[in-house]
Amino acid sequence: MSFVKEEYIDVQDALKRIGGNVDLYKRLLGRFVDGDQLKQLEAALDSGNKEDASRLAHTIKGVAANLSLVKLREVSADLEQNIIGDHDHTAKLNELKDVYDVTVQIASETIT
Amino acid sequence: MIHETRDVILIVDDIEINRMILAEILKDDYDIVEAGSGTEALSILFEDELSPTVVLLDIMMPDIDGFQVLEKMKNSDSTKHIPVLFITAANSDETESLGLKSGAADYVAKPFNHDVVRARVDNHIKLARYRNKLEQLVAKKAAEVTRTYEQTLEILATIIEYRNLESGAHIRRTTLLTEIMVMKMLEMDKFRPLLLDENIISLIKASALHDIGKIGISDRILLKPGKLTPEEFDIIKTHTTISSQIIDSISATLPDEDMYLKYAKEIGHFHHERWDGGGYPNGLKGDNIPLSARIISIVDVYDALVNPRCYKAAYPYDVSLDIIRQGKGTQFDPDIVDLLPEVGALFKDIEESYQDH
Repeated sequence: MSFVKEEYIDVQDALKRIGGNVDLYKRLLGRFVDGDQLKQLEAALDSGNKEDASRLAHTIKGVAANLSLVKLREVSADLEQNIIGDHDHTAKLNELKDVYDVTVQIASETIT
Repeated sequence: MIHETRDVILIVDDIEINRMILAEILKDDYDIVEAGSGTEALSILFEDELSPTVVLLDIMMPDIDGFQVLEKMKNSDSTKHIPVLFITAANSDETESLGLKSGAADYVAKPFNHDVVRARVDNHIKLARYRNKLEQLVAKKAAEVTRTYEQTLEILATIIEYRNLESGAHIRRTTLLTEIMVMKMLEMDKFRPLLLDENIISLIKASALHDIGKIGISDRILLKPGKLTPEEFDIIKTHTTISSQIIDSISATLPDEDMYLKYAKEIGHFHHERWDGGGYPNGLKGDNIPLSARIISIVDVYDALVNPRCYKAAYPYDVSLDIIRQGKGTQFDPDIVDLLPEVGALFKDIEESYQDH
């Protein structure tokens, strides 16, 4: 699968947020990579827990925004709206999973 | 150069990444404390009693959310003044306005803008510091004003006392003896609830004014060395009601009720009442006589007994205590008289330290 890295991550924007601290950005990306919000989100959707699911989508959106993970932010925002609006979320969830995987891959590369 | 302690910022967010970014933005100028949940935040604020200058508070958290934390903070005297900045997602006008209505001071939106976060936090810290300084200044000024007018009244009382050819140390001693008696009474279950903390100081200070009504009595009667005729005694008795009237006219000039003046009035008016109802001016009986007056009755008589007066010589300390004890239940409150053995030595110290010249 080919992707445009800049659509997924805006490093300059993120560095501006944290005063140019590159080491910190790498640590933050590491936290993101190690995180399990997506798993929790899937579990919540599976068990029909709408409240937790929308909160987790919201959380992923917030983290993505703060780390300038552009596409992930978009997709998680869409999924959050879907869940809140009680629409069918299957397609959006799959899209989120794809974007999440790519983002994790890019983040891991950026760290090294 | 004075080293100012750094302000503390409490950051509350269940997502570590968010806390790390905010901490990075703010750590150069402020000390950062982090909480990973609403529960942890409340524990830090109320159990550890951390007093942050500002709190950054995430709204959406799994167990207790930001609104609940804010509500708890607003309901507690120790935290309700602390400015709270909500952390919100962008484009959430509804949440932001609800947050501001619930008492949040401001909000910072995700994704965080470095300069905006700095500016908002800096502003709120400056505001909080300024307000604290103002509150301290006001309290200081209020205390100064109170002290000034109390001092003025005490000076007035001393001037009046000098007119009676008594040296004015009588007033000082009366106040100190009252203080000793009040402290002892605090140890008794019967009296402790009546002597609430904030009233004690006013009561003690007000004892200084117990005889200001004497300004209304002519020298001829006040300084008469011999026995007073019944008519002359009737005139002397009016110094109680005159004291009370003087305090009333002072109170009329003040907007609020003042405990110091309240005590001064009741002490002035009633310190010659007798426990058995045979006193003056009103013939009140038992604990219808205000407690403050019952205390000053004893202390005033004690000081008069142990010091020379124009109408008598000084009596020895133990004799004076005996004379008062003979008035137990008749002239004086029996429960207060019972405390005399315990304060006798302290009373003597005061008399010896502050003698008339």
